[in-house]
Amino acid sequence: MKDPFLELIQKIVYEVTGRKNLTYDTDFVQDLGLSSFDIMNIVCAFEEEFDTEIPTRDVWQLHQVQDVITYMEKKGITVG
Amino acid sequence: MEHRSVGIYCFDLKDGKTSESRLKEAVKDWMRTAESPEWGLLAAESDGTIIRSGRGKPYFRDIPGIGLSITHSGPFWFCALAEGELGIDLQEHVIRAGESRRQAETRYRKMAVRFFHKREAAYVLEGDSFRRFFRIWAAKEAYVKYTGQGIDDSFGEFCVIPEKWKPESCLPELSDVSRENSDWQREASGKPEEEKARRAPADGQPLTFRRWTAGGVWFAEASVRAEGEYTLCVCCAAPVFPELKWMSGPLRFGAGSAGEERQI
Repeated sequence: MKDPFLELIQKIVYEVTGRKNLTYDTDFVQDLGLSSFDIMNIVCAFEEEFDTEIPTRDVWQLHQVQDVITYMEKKGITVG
Repeated sequence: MEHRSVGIYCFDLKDGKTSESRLKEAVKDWMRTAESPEWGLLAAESDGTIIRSGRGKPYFRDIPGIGLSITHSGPFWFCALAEGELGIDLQEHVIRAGESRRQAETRYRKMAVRFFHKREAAYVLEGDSFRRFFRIWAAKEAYVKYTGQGIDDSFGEFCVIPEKWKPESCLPELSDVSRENSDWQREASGKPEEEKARRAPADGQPLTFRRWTAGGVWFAEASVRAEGEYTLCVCCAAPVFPELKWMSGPLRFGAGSAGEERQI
Protein backbone atom coordinates (compact mmCIF):
# COMPACT_ATOMS: atom_id res chain seq x y z
CA MET A 1 0.00 0.00 0.00
CA LYS A 2 1.41 3.37 -1.01
CA ASP A 3 2.17 5.90 1.65
CA PRO A 4 1.11 9.39 0.48
CA PHE A 5 3.52 11.00 2.94
CA LEU A 6 6.46 9.08 1.57
CA GLU A 7 5.40 9.79 -2.00
CA LEU A 8 5.13 13.51 -1.28
CA ILE A 9 8.57 13.64 0.30
CA GLN A 10 10.00 11.69 -2.61
CA LYS A 11 8.42 14.19 -5.01
CA ILE A 12 9.77 17.22 -3.13
CA VAL A 13 13.29 15.85 -2.78
CA TYR A 14 13.31 14.91 -6.47
CA GLU A 15 12.20 18.40 -7.51
CA VAL A 16 14.87 20.03 -5.35
CA THR A 17 17.80 17.68 -5.88
CA GLY A 18 16.97 15.29 -8.71
CA ARG A 19 17.47 12.35 -6.34
CA LYS A 20 15.11 9.38 -6.55
CA ASN A 21 14.34 6.08 -4.84
CA LEU A 22 14.06 7.37 -1.31
CA THR A 23 12.89 4.97 1.34
CA TYR A 24 11.90 5.52 4.94
CA ASP A 25 15.45 5.01 6.19
CA THR A 26 17.21 7.05 3.51
CA ASP A 27 19.57 9.46 5.27
CA PHE A 28 19.59 12.86 3.57
CA VAL A 29 23.30 13.48 4.19
CA GLN A 30 24.87 10.04 4.54
CA ASP A 31 22.96 8.36 1.69
CA LEU A 32 22.12 11.24 -0.63
CA GLY A 33 25.21 13.35 0.06
CA LEU A 34 23.13 16.51 0.26
CA SER A 35 24.84 19.77 1.14
CA SER A 36 23.50 22.25 3.66
CA PHE A 37 22.30 24.33 0.69
CA ASP A 38 20.30 21.36 -0.58
CA ILE A 39 18.91 20.74 2.90
CA MET A 40 17.75 24.34 3.30
CA ASN A 41 16.11 24.24 -0.12
CA ILE A 42 14.26 21.09 0.91
CA VAL A 43 13.25 22.72 4.20
CA CYS A 44 11.73 25.64 2.31
CA ALA A 45 9.89 23.26 -0.01
CA PHE A 46 8.54 21.27 2.95
CA GLU A 47 7.45 24.47 4.71
CA GLU A 48 5.59 25.62 1.62
CA GLU A 49 4.01 22.23 0.96
CA PHE A 50 2.92 21.60 4.55
CA ASP A 51 2.24 25.27 5.38
CA THR A 52 4.32 25.10 8.51
CA GLU A 53 7.63 26.41 9.82
CA ILE A 54 10.54 24.13 10.64
CA PRO A 55 12.97 25.86 13.05
CA THR A 56 16.58 25.44 12.00
CA ARG A 57 17.38 23.74 15.32
CA ASP A 58 14.91 20.98 14.35
CA VAL A 59 16.27 20.53 10.82
CA TRP A 60 19.43 18.73 11.85
CA GLN A 61 17.41 16.23 13.91
CA LEU A 62 15.65 15.07 10.76
CA HIS A 63 18.29 12.70 9.44
CA GLN A 64 16.09 10.25 7.58
CA VAL A 65 12.85 10.36 5.62
CA GLN A 66 11.03 8.63 8.49
CA ASP A 67 12.15 11.41 10.85
CA VAL A 68 10.41 13.97 8.61
CA ILE A 69 7.19 11.93 8.54
CA THR A 70 7.21 11.49 12.33
CA TYR A 71 7.94 15.20 12.81
CA MET A 72 5.09 16.30 10.58
CA GLU A 73 2.65 13.83 12.16
CA LYS A 74 3.52 15.19 15.61
CA LYS A 75 2.65 18.64 14.27
CA GLY A 76 -0.74 17.27 13.26
CA ILE A 77 0.02 17.39 9.56
CA THR A 78 -1.53 14.70 7.41
CA VAL A 79 -1.36 13.93 3.70
CA GLY A 80 -3.99 12.42 1.45
CA MET B 1 47.71 45.13 9.55
CA GLU B 2 48.16 41.38 9.89
CA HIS B 3 46.98 39.47 6.86
CA ARG B 4 46.35 35.78 6.34
CA SER B 5 47.67 33.76 3.43
CA VAL B 6 45.22 31.04 2.58
CA GLY B 7 46.07 28.14 0.29
CA ILE B 8 43.03 27.02 -1.68
CA TYR B 9 43.57 23.64 -3.33
CA CYS B 10 41.20 22.79 -6.13
CA PHE B 11 40.43 19.27 -7.29
CA ASP B 12 38.16 17.64 -9.81
CA LEU B 13 35.55 15.74 -7.79
CA LYS B 14 35.83 12.89 -10.31
CA ASP B 15 39.59 12.50 -10.09
CA GLY B 16 39.21 9.15 -8.36
CA LYS B 17 40.96 10.37 -5.23
CA THR B 18 39.62 10.16 -1.71
CA SER B 19 39.18 13.26 0.39
CA GLU B 20 42.03 12.06 2.61
CA SER B 21 44.45 11.74 -0.29
CA ARG B 22 43.51 15.17 -1.59
CA LEU B 23 44.09 16.63 1.85
CA LYS B 24 47.48 14.99 2.11
CA GLU B 25 48.49 16.47 -1.25
CA ALA B 26 47.26 19.88 -0.21
CA VAL B 27 48.99 19.80 3.17
CA LYS B 28 52.25 18.68 1.62
CA ASP B 29 52.17 21.53 -0.86
CA TRP B 30 51.05 24.12 1.64
CA MET B 31 53.75 23.20 4.12
CA ARG B 32 56.38 23.69 1.43
CA THR B 33 55.24 27.23 0.85
CA ALA B 34 54.25 28.17 4.41
CA GLU B 35 56.45 30.71 6.07
CA SER B 36 57.19 28.77 9.26
CA PRO B 37 59.73 25.90 8.89
CA GLU B 38 58.24 24.04 11.85
CA TRP B 39 55.10 23.39 9.81
CA GLY B 40 57.20 21.39 7.39
CA LEU B 41 58.38 19.10 10.18
CA LEU B 42 54.85 18.56 11.42
CA ALA B 43 53.59 17.82 7.94
CA ALA B 44 56.32 15.27 7.36
CA GLU B 45 55.32 13.39 10.51
CA SER B 46 51.57 13.71 10.06
CA ASP B 47 49.43 11.01 8.49
CA GLY B 48 46.85 13.63 7.51
CA THR B 49 44.15 12.17 9.74
CA ILE B 50 41.13 14.43 10.12
CA ILE B 51 39.07 14.68 13.28
CA ARG B 52 35.88 16.65 13.65
CA SER B 53 34.38 18.74 16.40
CA GLY B 54 30.94 17.92 17.75
CA ARG B 55 29.48 20.17 15.05
CA GLY B 56 31.51 18.65 12.26
CA LYS B 57 34.31 21.22 11.89
CA PRO B 58 37.38 19.39 10.56
CA TYR B 59 40.86 19.57 12.07
CA PHE B 60 44.13 17.79 11.44
CA ARG B 61 44.66 15.46 14.38
CA ASP B 62 48.39 16.02 14.63
CA ILE B 63 48.92 19.48 13.11
CA PRO B 64 47.44 21.86 15.69
CA GLY B 65 47.19 25.45 14.67
CA ILE B 66 46.51 24.74 11.00
CA GLY B 67 43.04 25.80 9.94
CA LEU B 68 41.28 23.53 7.50
CA SER B 69 38.01 23.91 5.64
CA ILE B 70 36.46 21.86 2.86
CA THR B 71 33.81 22.62 0.29
CA HIS B 72 32.45 21.02 -2.86
CA SER B 73 29.98 22.10 -5.48
CA GLY B 74 29.36 20.95 -9.02
CA PRO B 75 32.51 19.21 -10.33
CA PHE B 76 34.80 20.92 -7.81
CA TRP B 77 36.26 19.87 -4.46
CA PHE B 78 38.24 22.60 -2.67
CA CYS B 79 40.10 22.66 0.59
CA ALA B 80 41.57 25.73 2.24
CA LEU B 81 44.55 25.78 4.58
CA ALA B 82 45.90 28.60 6.73
CA GLU B 83 47.51 29.34 10.06
CA GLY B 84 44.49 29.79 12.32
CA GLU B 85 40.79 29.21 11.85
CA LEU B 86 39.09 29.73 8.54
CA GLY B 87 36.01 28.75 6.58
CA ILE B 88 35.48 28.34 2.84
CA ASP B 89 32.41 27.85 0.72
CA LEU B 90 31.95 27.29 -2.98
CA GLN B 91 28.37 27.52 -4.17
CA GLU B 92 27.03 26.84 -7.62
CA HIS B 93 24.30 29.22 -8.77
CA VAL B 94 21.56 26.63 -9.12
CA ILE B 95 18.55 26.81 -11.40
CA ARG B 96 16.45 23.67 -11.17
CA ALA B 97 15.51 21.61 -14.19
CA GLY B 98 12.46 23.12 -15.86
CA GLU B 99 12.83 26.35 -13.89
CA SER B 100 13.49 29.73 -15.46
CA ARG B 101 16.00 32.15 -13.98
CA ARG B 102 13.12 34.42 -13.00
CA GLN B 103 11.40 31.59 -11.13
CA ALA B 104 14.67 30.70 -9.41
CA GLU B 105 15.13 34.35 -8.48
CA THR B 106 11.65 34.43 -6.91
CA ARG B 107 12.43 31.29 -4.95
CA TYR B 108 15.73 32.67 -3.68
CA ARG B 109 14.10 35.91 -2.63
CA LYS B 110 11.81 33.86 -0.38
CA MET B 111 14.79 31.93 0.98
CA ALA B 112 16.62 35.17 1.70
CA VAL B 113 13.68 36.45 3.74
CA ARG B 114 13.39 33.06 5.47
CA PHE B 115 17.03 32.48 6.40
CA PHE B 116 19.04 35.72 6.14
CA HIS B 117 19.57 38.69 8.43
CA LYS B 118 17.18 41.52 7.51
CA ARG B 119 19.97 43.67 6.02
CA GLU B 120 21.17 40.74 3.93
CA ALA B 121 17.61 40.04 2.78
CA ALA B 122 17.17 43.72 1.87
CA TYR B 123 20.39 43.55 -0.17
CA VAL B 124 19.12 40.48 -2.04
CA LEU B 125 15.67 41.91 -2.67
CA GLU B 126 16.89 45.24 -4.02
CA GLY B 127 19.15 44.14 -6.86
CA ASP B 128 20.07 41.16 -9.02
CA SER B 129 18.49 38.79 -6.50
CA PHE B 130 19.79 35.65 -8.14
CA ARG B 131 23.46 36.61 -7.98
CA ARG B 132 23.18 38.50 -4.70
CA PHE B 133 21.56 35.54 -2.97
CA PHE B 134 24.57 33.33 -3.68
CA ARG B 135 27.04 36.01 -2.63
CA ILE B 136 25.37 36.21 0.76
CA TRP B 137 24.87 32.45 1.06
CA ALA B 138 28.53 31.69 0.32
CA ALA B 139 29.70 34.33 2.79
CA LYS B 140 27.38 33.05 5.53
CA GLU B 141 28.43 29.47 4.95
CA ALA B 142 32.09 30.46 5.04
CA TYR B 143 31.42 32.29 8.31
CA VAL B 144 29.67 29.38 10.07
CA LYS B 145 32.47 27.07 8.93
CA TYR B 146 35.03 29.54 10.31
CA THR B 147 33.26 29.65 13.69
CA GLY B 148 32.48 25.93 13.62
CA GLN B 149 28.86 26.59 14.63
CA GLY B 150 27.35 25.29 11.40
CA ILE B 151 23.90 26.39 10.30
CA ASP B 152 21.72 26.75 13.38
CA ASP B 153 19.06 29.09 14.71
CA SER B 154 21.58 31.94 14.80
CA PHE B 155 22.11 31.80 11.02
CA GLY B 156 19.83 34.78 10.51
CA GLU B 157 21.15 36.72 13.47
CA PHE B 158 24.63 37.58 12.23
CA CYS B 159 25.17 39.78 9.21
CA VAL B 160 27.94 39.48 6.63
CA ILE B 161 27.25 43.00 5.39
CA PRO B 162 29.09 45.82 7.23
CA GLU B 163 26.81 47.97 9.38
CA LYS B 164 27.88 51.27 7.91
CA TRP B 165 27.00 50.34 4.35
CA LYS B 166 23.63 51.00 2.85
CA PRO B 167 21.90 48.09 1.10
CA GLU B 168 22.36 49.55 -2.35
CA SER B 169 26.09 49.89 -1.93
CA CYS B 170 26.91 47.35 0.72
CA LEU B 171 28.98 44.91 -1.26
CA PRO B 172 31.24 45.70 -4.19
CA GLU B 173 29.32 44.40 -7.19
CA LEU B 174 31.09 41.84 -9.30
CA SER B 175 31.37 42.73 -12.95
CA ASP B 176 32.37 40.22 -15.57
CA VAL B 177 35.59 38.50 -14.49
CA SER B 178 36.97 38.76 -18.01
CA ARG B 179 36.99 42.54 -17.69
CA GLU B 180 38.66 42.54 -14.30
CA ASN B 181 42.15 41.35 -15.13
CA SER B 182 43.49 44.77 -14.32
CA ASP B 183 41.86 44.58 -10.89
CA TRP B 184 43.90 41.47 -10.02
CA GLN B 185 47.04 43.43 -9.35
CA ARG B 186 45.23 45.98 -7.21
CA GLU B 187 43.76 43.18 -5.10
CA ALA B 188 47.15 41.55 -4.49
CA SER B 189 49.75 42.53 -1.93
CA GLY B 190 51.54 44.88 -4.29
CA LYS B 191 54.74 42.85 -4.58
CA PRO B 192 55.28 41.83 -8.22
CA GLU B 193 56.70 38.40 -7.39
CA GLU B 194 53.78 37.63 -5.08
CA GLU B 195 51.29 38.76 -7.69
CA LYS B 196 52.75 36.29 -10.17
CA ALA B 197 52.66 33.49 -7.61
CA ARG B 198 49.01 34.14 -6.96
CA ARG B 199 47.93 33.85 -10.53
CA ALA B 200 46.00 30.80 -11.65
CA PRO B 201 47.48 28.75 -14.54
CA ALA B 202 49.23 31.02 -17.01
CA ASP B 203 46.71 30.56 -19.78
CA GLY B 204 43.69 30.82 -17.53
CA GLN B 205 41.70 33.75 -16.25
CA PRO B 206 42.89 34.89 -12.83
CA LEU B 207 40.26 35.19 -10.16
CA THR B 208 39.63 38.62 -8.74
CA PHE B 209 38.98 38.51 -5.03
CA ARG B 210 36.92 41.18 -3.35
CA ARG B 211 37.63 41.74 0.34
CA TRP B 212 35.55 43.27 3.08
CA THR B 213 35.15 43.07 6.82
CA ALA B 214 31.97 42.63 8.81
CA GLY B 215 31.23 41.48 12.34
CA GLY B 216 34.91 41.39 13.26
CA VAL B 217 35.95 38.94 10.55
CA TRP B 218 37.22 39.22 6.99
CA PHE B 219 35.82 37.87 3.79
CA ALA B 220 37.41 37.33 0.40
CA GLU B 221 35.10 36.44 -2.46
CA ALA B 222 35.45 35.60 -6.12
CA SER B 223 33.21 34.66 -9.01
CA VAL B 224 34.14 31.39 -10.72
CA ARG B 225 32.82 30.32 -14.12
CA ALA B 226 33.03 26.80 -15.50
CA GLU B 227 29.95 25.21 -17.08
CA GLY B 228 28.01 27.35 -14.68
CA GLU B 229 28.54 30.18 -12.28
CA TYR B 230 29.86 29.83 -8.74
CA THR B 231 30.62 32.08 -5.82
CA LEU B 232 33.71 31.27 -3.78
CA CYS B 233 34.11 32.86 -0.35
CA VAL B 234 36.70 32.54 2.40
CA CYS B 235 36.25 33.82 5.96
CA CYS B 236 39.04 34.43 8.41
CA ALA B 237 40.08 36.61 11.34
CA ALA B 238 42.43 38.79 9.27
CA PRO B 239 42.47 40.18 5.71
CA VAL B 240 42.58 37.15 3.45
CA PHE B 241 44.98 36.68 0.55
CA PRO B 242 43.96 33.48 -1.18
CA GLU B 243 46.33 31.54 -3.43
CA LEU B 244 44.67 28.98 -5.66
CA LYS B 245 46.28 25.85 -7.00
CA TRP B 246 44.68 23.36 -9.33
CA MET B 247 45.71 19.90 -8.24
CA SER B 248 43.87 17.64 -10.69
CA GLY B 249 45.48 19.13 -13.75
CA PRO B 250 43.91 21.98 -15.67
CA LEU B 251 40.14 21.71 -15.79
CA ARG B 252 38.59 22.17 -19.20
CA PHE B 253 34.91 22.51 -20.01
CA GLY B 254 32.87 23.07 -23.10
CA ALA B 255 31.46 26.57 -22.85
CA GLY B 256 27.97 26.68 -24.34
CA SER B 257 26.97 25.46 -27.78
CA ALA B 258 30.10 26.81 -29.45
CA GLY B 259 32.13 24.08 -27.75
CA GLU B 260 34.85 26.57 -26.89
CA GLU B 261 37.12 25.30 -24.19
CA ARG B 262 37.90 27.62 -21.37
CA GLN B 263 40.32 27.03 -18.57
CA ILE B 264 39.76 28.62 -15.23
